[in-house]
Amino acid sequence: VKAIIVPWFLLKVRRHNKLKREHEPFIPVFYSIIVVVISLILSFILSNQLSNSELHTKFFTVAFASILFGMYFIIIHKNIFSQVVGYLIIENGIFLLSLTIGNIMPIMVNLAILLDVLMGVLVLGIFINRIGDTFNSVEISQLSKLKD
Amino acid sequence: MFIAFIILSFLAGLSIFLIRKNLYTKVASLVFLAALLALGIYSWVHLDEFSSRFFKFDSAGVLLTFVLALLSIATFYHSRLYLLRHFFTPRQEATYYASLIMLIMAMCVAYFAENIALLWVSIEATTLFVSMLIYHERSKVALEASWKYLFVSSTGVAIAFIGHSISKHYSQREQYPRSEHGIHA
Repeated sequence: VKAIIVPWFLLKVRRHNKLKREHEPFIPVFYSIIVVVISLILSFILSNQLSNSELHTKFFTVAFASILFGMYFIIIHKNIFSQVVGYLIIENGIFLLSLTIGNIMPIMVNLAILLDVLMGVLVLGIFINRIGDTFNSVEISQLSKLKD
Repeated sequence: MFIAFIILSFLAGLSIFLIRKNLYTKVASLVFLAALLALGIYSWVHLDEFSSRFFKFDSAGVLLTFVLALLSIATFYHSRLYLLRHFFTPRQEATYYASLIMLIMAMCVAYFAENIALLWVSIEATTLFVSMLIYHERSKVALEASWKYLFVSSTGVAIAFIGHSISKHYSQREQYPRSEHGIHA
């Protein structure tokens, strides 16, 4: 499901909104690389500091770094499509983290989680299409009417 | 019993969405409300019993189910008035009622869920149905609000899953009795 249906659906959404494969982040790419490397090093240090026998250190490093990177990805991008990609990155990191802890779940519940993520991505994609149709673009600068 | 309630409310929501007749919608939502009250009374009688592998009727869940039943009676009445005041197509009204019923069902599942992952799934489901309700009035502002709500809360619920799984793991390891996770929705 994750490897076939979600990318296919995201490709359809991208074609519908005529997005090009270009990124327009708020921060230049060079600084982003530095930030990501720092977050990787941080998670390395953290996972080695947590001398817990039950945590798999390598898994924990990758999972924690991917959660941090997903949040960073959401923050720096102007495009709501990229934000959905960031959400998926966080989701992957979280499942890896739950593997780290060694929680064994029943297969039915696992399937339910997978279905739920799929539903979430589908609904988010439908909303992207609607936003693209009504506002004629998918930039977040269009979505600034509502404030606290 | 609880699974029967889930199936019944799922069927009610689906058939309202498909049939889209005014009278049928009324009857089905009344049946759903009666089933919700019946579930509350049933869980009160069978307090602290497991309904199946994944559900347990604990006291906080029973209390919240009664509150939810009372609130949903008022909600259905006021949504009737709201839909009369504005002009909506039958399709929109059917979608409104169907997502309202599914939202209440998902909240009940969240109250009684014994499994952490199931709890997480049902909370995520409530997020999705609430976003459908927000987008009911198809304006630009509603679209913006529902996008922001959906995105922020799905990211937040995803991060909450870490805390859930860690707390589950440690409560199992140290042989503590299960801590209370029931009231998040």
